[in-house]
Amino acid sequence: MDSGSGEGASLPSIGPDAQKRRVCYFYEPAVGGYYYGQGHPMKPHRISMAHSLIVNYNLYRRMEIIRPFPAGAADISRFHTPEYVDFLSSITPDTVNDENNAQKVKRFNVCDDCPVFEGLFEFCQASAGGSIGAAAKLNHEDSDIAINWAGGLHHAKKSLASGFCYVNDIVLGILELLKFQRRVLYIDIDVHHGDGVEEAFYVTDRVMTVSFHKFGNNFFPGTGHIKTNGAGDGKYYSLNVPLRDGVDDKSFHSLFRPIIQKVMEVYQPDAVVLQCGADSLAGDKLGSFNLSVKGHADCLRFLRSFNVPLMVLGGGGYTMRNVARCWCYETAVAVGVELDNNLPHNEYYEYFGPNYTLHVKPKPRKNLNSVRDLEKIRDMVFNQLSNLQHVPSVPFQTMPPTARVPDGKSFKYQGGEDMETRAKPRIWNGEEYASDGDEDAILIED
Amino acid sequence: MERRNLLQIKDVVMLLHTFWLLLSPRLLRQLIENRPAISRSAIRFELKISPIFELNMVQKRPFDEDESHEVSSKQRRQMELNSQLVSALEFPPEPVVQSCHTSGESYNGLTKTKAEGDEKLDIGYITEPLCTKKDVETSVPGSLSSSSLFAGTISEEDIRPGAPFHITLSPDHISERQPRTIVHSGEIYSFLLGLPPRKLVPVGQYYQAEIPEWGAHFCKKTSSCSEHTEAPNLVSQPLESDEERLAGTCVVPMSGSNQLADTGEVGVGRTGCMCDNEGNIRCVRQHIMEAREKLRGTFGPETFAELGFSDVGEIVAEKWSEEEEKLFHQVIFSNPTSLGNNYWNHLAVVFPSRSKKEIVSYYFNVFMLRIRAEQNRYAPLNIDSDDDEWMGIEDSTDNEVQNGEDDDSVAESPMDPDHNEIIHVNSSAYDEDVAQSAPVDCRVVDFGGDNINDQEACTCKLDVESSLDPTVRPSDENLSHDRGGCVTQDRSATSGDAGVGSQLTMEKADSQKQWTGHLSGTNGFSCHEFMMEACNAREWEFGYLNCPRNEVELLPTCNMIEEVFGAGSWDGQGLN
Repeated sequence: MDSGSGEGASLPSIGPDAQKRRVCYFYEPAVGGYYYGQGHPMKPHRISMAHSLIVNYNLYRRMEIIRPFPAGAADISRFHTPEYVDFLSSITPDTVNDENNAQKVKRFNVCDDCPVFEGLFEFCQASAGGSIGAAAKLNHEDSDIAINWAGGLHHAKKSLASGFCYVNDIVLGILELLKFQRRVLYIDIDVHHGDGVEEAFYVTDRVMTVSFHKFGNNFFPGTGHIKTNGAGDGKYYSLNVPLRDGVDDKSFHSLFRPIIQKVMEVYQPDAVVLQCGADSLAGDKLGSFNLSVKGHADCLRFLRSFNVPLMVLGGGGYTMRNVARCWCYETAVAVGVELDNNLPHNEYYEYFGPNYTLHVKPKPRKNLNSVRDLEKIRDMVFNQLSNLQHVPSVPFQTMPPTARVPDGKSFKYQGGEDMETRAKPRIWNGEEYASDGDEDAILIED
Repeated sequence: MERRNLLQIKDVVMLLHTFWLLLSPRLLRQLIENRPAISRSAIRFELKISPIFELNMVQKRPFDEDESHEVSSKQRRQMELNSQLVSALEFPPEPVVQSCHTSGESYNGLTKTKAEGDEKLDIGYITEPLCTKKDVETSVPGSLSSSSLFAGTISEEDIRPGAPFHITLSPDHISERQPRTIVHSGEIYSFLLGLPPRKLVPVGQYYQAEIPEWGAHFCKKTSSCSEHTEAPNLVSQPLESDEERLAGTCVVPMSGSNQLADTGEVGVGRTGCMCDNEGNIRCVRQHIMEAREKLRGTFGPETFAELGFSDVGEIVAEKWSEEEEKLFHQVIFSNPTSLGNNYWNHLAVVFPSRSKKEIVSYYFNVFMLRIRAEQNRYAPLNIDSDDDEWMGIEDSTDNEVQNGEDDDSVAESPMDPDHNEIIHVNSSAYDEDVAQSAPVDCRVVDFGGDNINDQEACTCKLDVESSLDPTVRPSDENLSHDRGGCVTQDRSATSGDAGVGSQLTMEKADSQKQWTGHLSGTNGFSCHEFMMEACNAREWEFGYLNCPRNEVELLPTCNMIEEVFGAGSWDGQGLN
């Protein structure tokens, strides 16, 4: 196992990274007790495992721990259709087989990947409550970073369950943010395309969605082509970075950093939402990327440096021990603490044997993303970004072809430094977005 | 009718494929342009869209191999043949339209051109005039103008396997209802190359979120707010009642920044200890308990509970009697998932007074942790050291390949032909059977303290009929007839075979593909487990049954704890 020392081992003591952040962390103690069913890869228990590590590393001393409110049907219906919410709140394992439910079960896709399990709706309430609560804390400027590892269920659609997700807590959280923030940037590093969030905000420019994911070979969900970039007012405000198997830390960040850097400069969001699906880690049961925990956490580390209100959410992750490690480490990154590689004793200690260490080493596997592929992707993405109406005072410049790779040393982020002391951006002409309102939701009628 | 139509289309595609191979792209384009009538007449057919309920065809975990192959190949063919067909979802009530979201960038990598004109929502029933207009402007001259094959793009999401796939697409019909559509030359290439078209994002009131107005909250608070120009300072404002509700309940407040004494402890992991056998089960348990007590002292019992720590770990076992614990283990061991059993059904029956939550809690907080504790020390090379459901045998996945063995090696477990039969279990005989049936894997620790390491040949028990749980519907693809036989669970693990499930694993592997841990539409698996839900059962855990490593010597850990710590050292509640 990786000893934990080496690249990225210590956060720089100077620069924007060293700045403390006020962090709040949402945790519903019952969330780990929900169970999708025997053999189902999604196991909420991983959230409890992460929590156990987080608390036993004493990270509670650096953040506020909040028990989320259970989102009600009305809260959830801010995005989802009332019929769907009504169904979710009333269906149980005992009634799911009833004939009169059969049509709805199929209609709402609450079967197969998305089974009806005991406490399903309570689970959704906890997940959504955490993300909405995180948004509320950020809106009120109580916190700089708000974490909800029970959230991040990015596949759920307005009237449809999908990919183990029933209620899209991310959309609900973003909708709450949009009350106070003019522009929200959503970034998704789950190995699966963040289709539910992209779809929800496909035609608006008040939310920009950026997803890095595996694409091709019938990989779920099948959307997320590089050319998928939004529609209507939202044209060019959806970005997709499709990748192939085996992407490692270096290649991932050769795309992530320059792209996000440019997005931050051009879009200048008031808040950022980062979905930290841990199935992009090496060794995931369903995923096929090859990121280390450090590499995965570098995304959060990078975004943190911009000092923009940041919501950090969970998501996929089907090798529980690695999910727990990853999210624990990322909680520490949010707080600004480096963790020892030897795990502290905790209730779930034995799950992390036989080495009981924190960091996950990438596997020796082929990276199917060649340097040339990555360059091409980057170029195409930059081309898309050039369509965004950027702030006039910030001329668009193409990033150099070889972006720097994090090497653990102090990394000055252009955007980070500029943003260091800003409260709310004023250089953007707010008029364009002044009267967004319902115009973004375009109803289509044949 | 569909088949006939498909064959017709297929013929056309073959023709086009041949042309494409022989001719240059440019010539091909000209060929198609000059002969639109031919292609239209060749593919004159009439299809209509069937109701689509399942929008997500591509599942996160594939269905059984045959089905997924069929589906994926079927989808691919459909798309090859009709790469851009009309798709209309009949649910929800409003017709859902899909927008064509092709950018100006062509397939062959020509420089991207900016979108022309007003890129309003490009929505049309089939495809957007604006989108296609843009393509015409930017594409190489002579793009195909077609109103049949290339009228729109079907999304994979819209195809249900086995459902009749009808699309109303007669050319005349099209011209009446739909605007003419133009396909970019790149689209043709992708079509011809058999690549699936890009899945489109549906747009409409049933798909997108309603964006709230920015600043509405500000105006409520301030009396003289100029609309949308200034963000008022919210910091000093108390949270409104609804915002208070949304913000949740603070359990652990932010600690003061002056607690320098604590600085050194944050982020600190475990350090060495003074225990005699550092790292053994007893040492670890001791330290876990100390950590627990430390937290309880730090937070106080109320906050400790609100953080969830009163219900995690070994202490959960305190709420279970010794008898219950024994029974729990017996149920699991008698119903290994490697044999397709769903022990949750059995557990629910055996513990009628226990809620599902309690059973799940015991499983993750006690049962699996104890298994893992054993594995970490006595079979460290062969662990799928995770959460996973108890399989009967823990096979390594790629995660823990540390011994460099060939994944495909499979042990031949000695089989006793006399026991190579399926035994049906019914609830009435359950208790007795459970007690007598030997655990699947000799590595299982007998936590109950009873010596169940008897030499009875294990027999697999397949629930052919869900007699235990009336709500469970057995899958049509039942284990019994697919397996063809049952594995003898040889208790004498010292024979060195990889284990119990190996034979069965191999049988499975013969007939179906294994789960490789990768999402892939082509890797299918058949599910043979019973589920509580009505839908076809899916064997998610099937993929965890990689071929075991026969070289790994599995130590018999029956009574391991007693061996290590002495007889009677385990009382089911913890080490004495």
